[in-house]
Order: sequence, then C-alpha cells, then structure tokens
Amino acid sequence: MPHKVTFQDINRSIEVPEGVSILEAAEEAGIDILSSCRKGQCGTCAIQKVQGEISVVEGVEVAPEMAKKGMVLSCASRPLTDLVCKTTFQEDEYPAKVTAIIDRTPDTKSFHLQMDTRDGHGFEPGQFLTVGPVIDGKKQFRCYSTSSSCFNKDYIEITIKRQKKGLVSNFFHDFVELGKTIHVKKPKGNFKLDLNATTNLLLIGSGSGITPLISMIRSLTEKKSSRKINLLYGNRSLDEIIFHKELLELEVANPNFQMEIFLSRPDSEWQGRKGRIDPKAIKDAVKACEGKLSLYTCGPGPVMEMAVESGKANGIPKNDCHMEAFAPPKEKLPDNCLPLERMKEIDILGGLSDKVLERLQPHIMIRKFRPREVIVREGDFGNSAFYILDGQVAVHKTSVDLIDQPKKKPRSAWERFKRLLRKNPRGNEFIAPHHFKVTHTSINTEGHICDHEGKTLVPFFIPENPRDLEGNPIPESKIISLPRGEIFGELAALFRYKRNATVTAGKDYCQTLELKIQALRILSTSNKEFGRFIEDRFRQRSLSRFLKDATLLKDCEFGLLEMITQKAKFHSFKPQQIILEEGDSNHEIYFILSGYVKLSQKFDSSELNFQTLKKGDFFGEFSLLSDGPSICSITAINNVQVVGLEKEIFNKIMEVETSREIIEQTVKERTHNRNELRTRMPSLSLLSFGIDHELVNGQSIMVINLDRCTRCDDCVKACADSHEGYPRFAREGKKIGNTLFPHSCMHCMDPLCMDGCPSGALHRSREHGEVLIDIDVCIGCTMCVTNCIYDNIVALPVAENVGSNGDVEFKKNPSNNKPILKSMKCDLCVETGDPACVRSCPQDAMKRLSFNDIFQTQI
Amino acid sequence: MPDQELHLNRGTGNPPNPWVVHLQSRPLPWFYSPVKLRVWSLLLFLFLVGALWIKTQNLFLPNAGHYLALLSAFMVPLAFFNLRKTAIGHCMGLTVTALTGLGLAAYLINGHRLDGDLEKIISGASILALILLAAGFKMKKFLSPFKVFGTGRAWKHIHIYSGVIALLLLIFHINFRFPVGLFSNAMFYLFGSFIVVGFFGIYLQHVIPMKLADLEIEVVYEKIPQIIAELQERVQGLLKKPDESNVSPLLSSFCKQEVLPFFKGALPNIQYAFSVSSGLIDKLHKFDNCHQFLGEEEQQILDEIKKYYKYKQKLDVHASLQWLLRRWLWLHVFLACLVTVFVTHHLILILMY
Repeated sequence: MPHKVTFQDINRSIEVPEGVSILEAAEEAGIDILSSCRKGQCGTCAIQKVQGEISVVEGVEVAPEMAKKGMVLSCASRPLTDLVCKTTFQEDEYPAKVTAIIDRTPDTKSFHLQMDTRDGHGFEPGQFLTVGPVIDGKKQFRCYSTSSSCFNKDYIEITIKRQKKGLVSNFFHDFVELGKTIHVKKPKGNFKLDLNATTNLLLIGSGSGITPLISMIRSLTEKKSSRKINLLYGNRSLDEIIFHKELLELEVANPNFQMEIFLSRPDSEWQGRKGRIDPKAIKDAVKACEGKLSLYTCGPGPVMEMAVESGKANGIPKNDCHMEAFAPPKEKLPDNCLPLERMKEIDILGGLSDKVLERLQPHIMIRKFRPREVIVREGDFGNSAFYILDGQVAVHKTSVDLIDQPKKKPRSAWERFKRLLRKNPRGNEFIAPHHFKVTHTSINTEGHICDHEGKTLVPFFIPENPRDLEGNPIPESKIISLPRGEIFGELAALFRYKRNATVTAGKDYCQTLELKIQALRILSTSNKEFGRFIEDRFRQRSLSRFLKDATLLKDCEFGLLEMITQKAKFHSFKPQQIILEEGDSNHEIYFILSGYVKLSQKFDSSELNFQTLKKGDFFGEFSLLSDGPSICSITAINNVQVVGLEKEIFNKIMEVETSREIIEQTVKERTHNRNELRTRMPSLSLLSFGIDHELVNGQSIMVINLDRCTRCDDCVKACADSHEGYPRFAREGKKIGNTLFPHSCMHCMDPLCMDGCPSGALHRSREHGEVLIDIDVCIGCTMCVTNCIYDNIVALPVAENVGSNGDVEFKKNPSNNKPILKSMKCDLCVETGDPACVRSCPQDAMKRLSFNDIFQTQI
Repeated sequence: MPDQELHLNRGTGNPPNPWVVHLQSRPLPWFYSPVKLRVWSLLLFLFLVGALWIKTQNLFLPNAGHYLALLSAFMVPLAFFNLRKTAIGHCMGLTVTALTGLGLAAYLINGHRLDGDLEKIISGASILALILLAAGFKMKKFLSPFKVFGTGRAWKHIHIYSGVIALLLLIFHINFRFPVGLFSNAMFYLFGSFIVVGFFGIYLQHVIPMKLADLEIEVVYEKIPQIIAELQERVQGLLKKPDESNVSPLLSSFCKQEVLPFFKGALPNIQYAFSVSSGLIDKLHKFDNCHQFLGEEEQQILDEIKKYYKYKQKLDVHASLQWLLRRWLWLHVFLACLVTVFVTHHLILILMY
C-alpha cells in the first residue's frame, strides 16, 4: 500500500509505493535529494524525519546522536506510515578557503581547503568531505574523498578528476581559484581505516579511486606504523597516474609500503606491469602478504567487485574486505520503463532478485507498435531483443519490399554543388538550422519517438499486401505469427549480426518489452534458465548456419555438423580475461562467435602480442594436435563468446581432408609468426599499439603517413566541403612513430555507439555496412558520443541566429532549456562511395584500412 | 553473418598492402642509394661525353633538337627503372615530359619548320593551356566532393609536369635564346623563378614532413598558440608554491630570464629546418647549471619546467616548419598571379598587334 510523504520545507507531497525507497520516489517526482552511494553507507542522502514510521534496510545504521535529531537515510528507508519530512538534514556547514591548487594529471587537481575551525579538519583516512560550491545561484553538494594525511591539521586535501559532464568537477577545475571560499560539511563515511588495528593492508585502486587510499598510506607513513601496505593501482596510461610522484616518494619514505602500478595502455618506455588488475594479480599480492590482511578498494564498480570477490576467494575474511560505497547518481530511467512490481509479473523476469531487476530497469522499456508497423528490419544491426507482452507479431521469412519506407534518394551532382556553395563556413562550431531537420524530440510513454507536441514521428509500415523484392505477393504461409510470450531478435543482438527477417506488428496493436543488449547479458548471467534458453536457441537457429559458413568445416558431412551442433559448449569471456595461458593444456578447439582475442607469447620479460583473431576464427588447435601445452597465451580483448568442441569431435574434423589442410596450414602460419617474433619487432609494436587502443574493432581506420603528410589540411577541407561545411574528423589523434590515427569513425564491426540510440538515427547501411547517423532523425541525446570509446563522434549545437558580430545564439529545447545538439561522425562519404578525405590528399598520405591491413601486415 | 564486414575489409591471408609496407618500412627515395646515384650519374656523364664526341667528330651538325632528344632518351629509362614501383605518378609524369621532349626534338632535327609566327602562336597557346591545366589543381580542391574529378594525387602530378612541360615549351617558344626587351626578360625570369619556387616546394614537401614525423608530438598549426598558452599557465602555476609563497630568488630570476619569455608565444626559427633540436642542448645546459644550486623541492619544480620547455621547443619546431610549408605556397601562388598578369598582357599585345 502506498504511503504519503510530505516534505515540509518545500511544501510537496508524494506517494511512495510499497517496497520503494523514499529517495527513489522523490527522484521520480522530480524532488532533488542529494545522494551518492545509494547503499546507506555515505550518509549524503540524509533527510530529517519529523513524523511517521519507517523501515530501514538491514545493516544500515546512523549514529545515535544523529538519529535523535531525526536523521534518516532516504536511500535505505521505506515508509511504514504516512510521513512528514524535511528534504535536508540540517548539518553544520563550515566556510573553507582554498589555500592551494595542485595539478596532479592533465585532468586531475588537488585542492587544499582550510576551515576557520581546526576541529573541522579531523577525519579518519578514507572518509569523504561534502563540498557545496554555489553554481548558477544554487548550492550543489558533492562528496570527494580526502587525500591528505589525517594527522595534517592545517588543511584537508581533496582530489577531483574532471568528468565529461560533471557540473561540480568542471566548476572546480575551471573556476575555483586560490583564496575562494567554499562551504563544506564535516568529513564522514564508513569507508575508513582503523589506525589502531594491526592487520596488514592490501589496497586496490583504479583511476581516481586512489584518493582515499593515498590518505591511508600518508596517515600510516606519518604515524610510522609497522603495518605492511601493498598497493595495486590501475590506470590507462602513464600521464593518467594520479599521485605518481608522491607514491614513489612514499615508497622511499615508508619501508613497509610497496606498490605495483598497472597500465592498460602503456607506452613503449613503461617498465611496470601492463594490463588491468585481475584476479591473478590479487591472488599473487595476497600470497606475497604475510599475516592477517585487510583489503580496501576504491574505483569503478566492476574493479571493486572483482577485488572483493578475489580477496574473499583468497582467504581474506568478509569483514576485512572494505569497498568504497560511492556510486554514480542513478540513471534517469526512461519514461516508459517498468516499475519493479510490474517487472516481477513478467514470466521472463520472474524469480529474479530486486537487485538484478534494478540493474535491468534502465535497459528495458515498453514499446507499443501500431498494426503492421515495422519492429525490426531485415538487414539492420540491432542491439535489442523484443519480448511480446500483448498482441502478435509477423515474421516475414522472405525479403519484403518496404516501398513505404522513407528512403533518402542520393542527391544529384547539381544539388550537391548547390549545397557546396551554401556550406556553413563555421561548420566545426555549430549547425546552421536550415541544413537539418530540428524537432524537440523525445520518447513518449508508448515508446514512440514524438515531437514536442507529442505527435509520433517517422513510424513506417509494411504494405497491406506485402511483396517480395521481385514484386511477387508474399503468401501467408511465408509469414510466421509469433504469439504473446515469445522473444525475437535476441541472437542478432547478443552475437552481433544483422537481423535476418523483417518483423512487424500483427493486425492489431502490439506491445513488447524491448530488452537492450545489456539487459540480455545481465539476464544470461543471472538467470541460468534464460542462459540455457539462449544457448538452445543459438544451437537450433544459428549455430548450424555459423558452422556451415566456417571455412574449416565447409566440407564436413551433415552428420558431423549435426553432432557439432549438439555437443558444442558455449563459453563467455570478459575483456582482458585469459582464455588459454601459455604452457597450459586445453582439451577443446574454440570457434569465436563474437568479439576479438589476441595471441601473445612471453618474450624475455615481456609479453608480445603477435596476432589477433575475430569472429569465425578458431584457436586451441596446436595443443590438441601435439597433445602438449599451448605455445601462446590467448586473451579476450573485449566481450568474447566462443564455442568449444571436444577432442573427439576435433579428431573427426581432422579426418576431413580440407579441414585437416586448413588446420595444418594455420598451425604452420601461427608457428611461423611466433618464430619470427624477433625479426618483426616494428610491426609487432604497431600491433600492440592497435590492441592497446582497441582499434581491433575498426573496419575502416583512418591512417595518416606523417612522412608524407604536408599538414595542408586538404583532407579536412574536402570532408567539410562534402558535408555542407561540417568536417567529420579532426587531423589529430593517436600517434605512433610516423603513423597518426586521427579521430575519425572506424565503422566498427561491433559498434558500441549504436547501443542505446533511442531514435534509431544510428544505423548500418544495407549495402556495405557503414555505421551512419541520420542527422535529421538524431535527437541529440549524445548517447553515442558517450558510448564511442574512441572519441570519434561529436555533438554540435544547432544555431538559432548568428549575429553580425559573429556571436551565435543557440536553439534550445524548451523542456530542459539546453541547446539542441546533433551528433556527427564520418559517413565514409557513402553518397559517392569514396571518402573525399583520402581522394583529395595530394601526397597519398592518407588511407582508410581495416585492422588486419594495418596491424597484421608482416614486414 | 559474413556480410557484416565492410566491403573493404580483407583478411590476413592477402599480400601486404604496398602503402602499408611503405608506411612501416619508411624507404628512402632512390637517389639516397649511393650505388644507384653513381650508376645514373655515370650514364648521364657518358651521354654528355657522347654528345660532345659527336660534335667534335663532325659526324653531323647537332642542333638543340639532338641535345633535347638525348636528354629525353636518358629520362625515360631513369624514370622506368627507379620510379615505376615506388612513385608511379612521377614515373608517368617524367615519361610524358620525355615524350614531349622527343616530339620537340624530332621537329627540331627534321628541319622542316613552320612559319616563325605560327610556331610561336602554337607553342604560346600550348603554354597557356598547360598553365591553365596546372591551375586546375586548385579548381579540383574546390570541387573535392565530386569523385569524377579524380584524385588529388593525380592532379598534383598533372600540376607538376604541366609546369615542367610548359617550361620546356617556353624555351622552345623563345627559340633557345634569352629574350630581348625589358618586358620579355621580366616575363622569362618571372616564369623561371615561379618554376624554381615550385621545385623548391616539392623539395620542402618531401623533407619537412619526415622531420615533423620524427618529433614525438603532432599538432594542428592553428592550435599551437592555444597549447603554448596552456603550457605557460602551467609553468606559472609551478612557480607558486601550494602555500602561496614564492620560489627562491634564484629559481625565480632564472625563470624570468630564461623560461617565461620562451613561453610568451611561438618562436619560429628557420634553423629548425636544418636541425629540429637546434640550440636545445645549450638551453637545457642552463637548466643543469641552475639545478645544482637548488634545494630538493625546487629541483623537482625545475625538472617539471624543463619537461614543459622541451615540449614547447617541439611546438616551436612544428610552428616553424609548418609555417615554412604554408608560406612557400603563398609565394608560389603570388608568383603564379604575377605570371598570369604578364601572360594576359602578352596575349593582349599579340591580339592587338
């Protein structure tokens, strides 16, 4: 039964459904309560209860003196009766003066804050400080871990990393100067080090997660503690290591402190550990520590979870594993998302815990389709599956001629010439409003994309009497009807291949649950039944097709293929997970279904990558043939899914002549590659560069030979001229030797940018598979900009007016008063089929090449 | 599933892409090979000796056509044997130039020459056509979105070799003699310097990119002032201690004299065209001198400043060399405009008189 909660100070009342926390309900209603960990740990979301009863999540407590004042943690409290509250718990605030600003890395700064009262400087190492700078007239509270020693009574140091869209972090970086006064609250938090304990410490941090850990190290060093401290600290590159110099100094100053820094993208001069912190490294660190051990970890969620799991697996008691509880603010759920109660009613989600359902919630949504409206198009690349909640859908087995589908005709040469003359000369700054369609789009509660008046935009329908591509009517027998409770599109999404049929709503309205790929992955791991269901589906529907396409098995008999289909085992690997270690034996041959793996070998003291494999390739054959250990390590580069075939099947495959020849040839090539390592150092360092920067995904990578490039920028000008003045790349990016990889879309095999595009503006072209953005349809949510890990997509604001002095007034979305954006990226000049940048380079310094062409060329 | 890959994706089994081979192996041009240089110089010397021998032996009376034929005949194998694999554009350009030279030589050797004025009109019109063709390179840049106009590389070769052939025709046009009269002389030398600047540009475009590629950083020319301003801010930040006290007078005066003026803006220097580390060692030596008199904390500050100093020096190299690449082009275009004015005036005179 829902309860009424009245916030006295802001004069608002909300209804909180049963089982929902006060914080969640308040956020849903648009009431701003500051929160951080959302687990009842940090205390940021404290509110004051004036009247009524609540239930508190088990294990969450507030200090008795605070409880007396009525403080409750809104994230962990659920009303039992109607409540009267105040949105903030009136904690004392202190003015603090910024006495020093220290650059730690290009995007991280430390700030020394000095309060008038010295009492305010007291804290325990690991705790956080709540700062409340006034931004745009409003006090914005955020929590930052302290990074100074707790024995330092002169100031408190906080260290802030600039976040892409961080309001407060950007304010600190751009506007906070020496002498500025900022209001702070007293340090608090349950993630803290007991200085009087005697256990040795294993500290695991990643990125800016070092801040509370260095506070612990500094404090223990200053205390001259005899506790042994072992720090594992992960970063991407050398210049991103926060407190590098300080940590090296601490290592000298404190003989009990030692550290290992891991770099996932090291440069050639890096002598330390390469890669990410993994369970093996933690296991080794635990082994190396003597005596009783406590683990403290801070960093991204997955790193902390892995650290705690590995710590526990290696004998550290649960109570001694401490994880910083900060979590990013909860994502705003889509308007048409399902409440938890409704989710529990759906059989596919039945039996899942609340925690899993909460993780699923942002990745699933209700979608309603009108009669005959197209749900998925044959040939498209999708990242979601659909579960039918109501009505029926029609699956068209034969290719349908979607004549009603709005198709963009290629422009004539004259039209293109006219656009060239009317190009936007400031196309790298803003979008001229007349160049693209601009609507204040959003997704309505029915899951349709609509304009600001709620009018549905661009749905398209299948004709009443559908015809195939040759113009013949499609008989009813060729259309399969799927009833309520069926799921479709899951294999194409999970295994990243194109939709093989057009699916439309039936003759009536149809309601579906759209499950994004993240939801499918969560479901596959947390619901064993669903995982098995996916495996069986793949076995029935796609594996035989996959095997038939595999070159290795092309001449195998039907019986053998059938046997393989039945007996194949599915394995999934996370990024950087070692699949097969050099020297270990394996009992299966593996076929890659999706993702990429790298082959590497130990060479003197380092690990050399010498080849990458992609979907359809196989590995593990050497060990099976020789009955010996594997000659190289095989590691997943990203999320990898493989099927494993046991030795018995492998032996049968070897009986087929062509398959045997292919395997023998592959073994020969890989052995040759391995033996030639010493002579191929330049191309191998290039390959490692490509793997470290995750370019393996690229199908059309822009490469510039700097030995030839005269920096004339003809390429950028040609690109801008081909796109109405909007250049789609910048001639700057990653450099290795004489090679530059500029920021330009690589048209990835597995395009992460397409995950979550709500308007469907991002799509793959049918003809050649280029990843494209329909700028007219783009609603400027910048999801793709955030998702693209290569920074190859930009979002430009749409101009309303350009003043005579050159000042630009931007068009704003009335719903949030923010400039309307449009995402842009390289489209490989799909209109002409020949990228203008490459064609216009007078020095032949630029090419668009696949990963294999650049990085696996053996020279 | 397989058609998920782009049409231009290829597997590992294919032969290496020659462009990638060139990228990774960084081959030097053929004339950097001492053996080849000696062989072809010797062949050229033998050609010249042969020509001289013919003249001294009075076997027949050689004219300009014979020398032109000899030079053209030498150029074809030179281009074919050295450039056909690595620089097909230059190979074709040289061959076309040589064939034009052979054509002219045949005409000159033949002895049946057209009327003098007609000959000049034809050669002059051809020069004008070639100049217009060379100017088409700029037009092609404007029309770069249109595939039908071909590649920039092809147009660069057309631009270079139409200029070379125009020079050849100009020499023929003035009948292998220096022109007479102030205007004709001015036009001749202007055209000559225009072509020489063009060749100088080809040299710069070959040498400077390699120097820039060897630097650790790559920057866009227009962004250099912004990056320098950021560096300057960082250096100034280092000179203020966290507690707002200043650094020691020694470090402070050293920075005032040696460091801060260096960060005021880009300092282009033509010396960098000869050595990208020009003067850097001397400047860094000053840092070492100062380093020994500082305390441990300030030594670290100085080391940090030194790092920024080296970075800024690389930015200066980029600023200097990219400036050179751009300004050369301005000079070339300026001369082209002057040549156009002179040619137009020349044409008007011909048409009027």
